[in-house]
Amino acid sequence: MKPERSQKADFLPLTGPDPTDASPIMQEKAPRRFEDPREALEALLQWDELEREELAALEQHPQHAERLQQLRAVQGWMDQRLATPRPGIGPCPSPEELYDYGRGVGANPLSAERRAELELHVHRCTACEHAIEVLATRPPAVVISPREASLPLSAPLRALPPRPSPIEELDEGSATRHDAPAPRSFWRPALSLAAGLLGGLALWTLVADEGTPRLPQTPQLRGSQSGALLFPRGLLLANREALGAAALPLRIELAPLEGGDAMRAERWRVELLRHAGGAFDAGLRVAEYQSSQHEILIEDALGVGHYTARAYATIAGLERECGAQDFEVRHDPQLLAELEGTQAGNELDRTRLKIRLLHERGYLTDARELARTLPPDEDRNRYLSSDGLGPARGR
Amino acid sequence: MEELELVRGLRERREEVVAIFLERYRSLFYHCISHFEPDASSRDDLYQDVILYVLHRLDADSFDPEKGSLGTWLYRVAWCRCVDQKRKQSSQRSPRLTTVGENIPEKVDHCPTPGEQAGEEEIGSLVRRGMASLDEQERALLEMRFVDGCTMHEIAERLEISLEQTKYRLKRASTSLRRVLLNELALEEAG
Ligand SMILES: [Zn+2]
Repeated sequence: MKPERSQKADFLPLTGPDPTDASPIMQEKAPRRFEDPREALEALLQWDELEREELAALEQHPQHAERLQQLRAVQGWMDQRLATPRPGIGPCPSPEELYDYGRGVGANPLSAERRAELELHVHRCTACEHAIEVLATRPPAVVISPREASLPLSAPLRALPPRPSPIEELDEGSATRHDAPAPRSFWRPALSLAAGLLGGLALWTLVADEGTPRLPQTPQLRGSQSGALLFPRGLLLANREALGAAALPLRIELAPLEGGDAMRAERWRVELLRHAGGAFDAGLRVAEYQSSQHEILIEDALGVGHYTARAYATIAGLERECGAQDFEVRHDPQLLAELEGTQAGNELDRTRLKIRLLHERGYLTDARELARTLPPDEDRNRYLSSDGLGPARGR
Repeated sequence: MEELELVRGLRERREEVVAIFLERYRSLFYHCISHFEPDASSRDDLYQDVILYVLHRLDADSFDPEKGSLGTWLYRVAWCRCVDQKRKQSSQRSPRLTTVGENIPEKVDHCPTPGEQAGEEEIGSLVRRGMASLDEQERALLEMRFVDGCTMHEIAERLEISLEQTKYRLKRASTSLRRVLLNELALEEAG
């Protein structure tokens, strides 16, 4: 490639090494000289993954230089095939638009219509597909400025240690629970008691009429938009301490990806973007959280405002975006007063009523967190498992 | 050094500021560049071009600190420049025929000479011969990719496998092809 060089900046030095070259370990080693034929063959087969010094050694090798040249020419031919869009798929979008489509850092939102059009193109265009691949990987840390990094949100987080979910406690011996949504198996013990007498629904009503406030029904939450990112969603109370339980954490909940073991995430990464409002506001990345677990706890309070959480999973060493969720942290003094005034016979029932109230007002994440403080029972387990994945959801 | 101070220094082309800038953001630029230019020996030109382009955009005042960090802006600008340069490079190497309804591609300032064209054809037939020696599955995969020009998504759909598996199989098949080509070359050298 022959770049046009401007006069003004001709002094620009290419200082320092290519940071993609040589891990610290590699730097300590002397570059290989490829006298061993097997070593040379391995290097030639992976020539485009070699560091600069090793590549230079091959380039200067009396025997291998020509072989390398040939392989380079072949790769150039193949790259050219991929870089030339097939006829009939229409012109490639501008890089700017492609960046937004690929959801690069600080991307602007696209209309659903435009996104669908671009998807059709990218699906069939090798060049555009290749270009946006890099956007799915994590950019270096310098993308986040020191100013952004010093926001209280980015404080280090701890990942939750693995724990059995309430469902697994009840649903013993279900070996397939990670693979396919099973029928609502946590009903089984109760149903067997009422065998032949009551259907599931009737039993449900019976339990509900005994006086204990029931937790609400959670809608199907998993949609194509949110993907693997289940919570936070909807509204979040700005003053969570008002919920009564001591300083509830904010919990990022991720669903296992479909596809069984082959799709098991080695690592999750969640980006948090804060929006100033407005349709074209892309949001400022304010924090990033990482964990090998499906749940990540954030103990810092989020400021009032609109946010988008975006999740990425690393599978077989490759990172891919796997869902996004919008939510709003809101100061809601009226709701706080109502929560404060909740009356019930005992503390547990009072908590249940608070959960219902939060749920009805769209504070699903808070309701869910508060439900976790209840002792495990069927109602609580049903509520916590109602994320659209069914009770058999593996954790 | 604060971002705004850095930006000011870059606009004035103060050497020490440029040095700090390159030091701080080199890994960011290379994150993009090494994806678009996997050959380590060929990265410098693209790097130089991206840096000059970024400075040019800074001069034009297109960085707005209100909208996000300098790093975020740089990443976007660098990525877009890489895409642009790669497109330009590819259209220079093979001006393709446009079909009805398509936009005319950017002005082509370089047409392959008959010599270059012959070279390309020769490599093409070398690749096809190499592919013919591969096992059925690998050959079919490479043909889908490099002869039919299928995207990873299309291949994954056709073969009903995941995207990750597609990438893995393609990588493996490409390595097999290299092995075959190296063998042929060694035989030629010996003969
Ligand atoms: Zn395209």
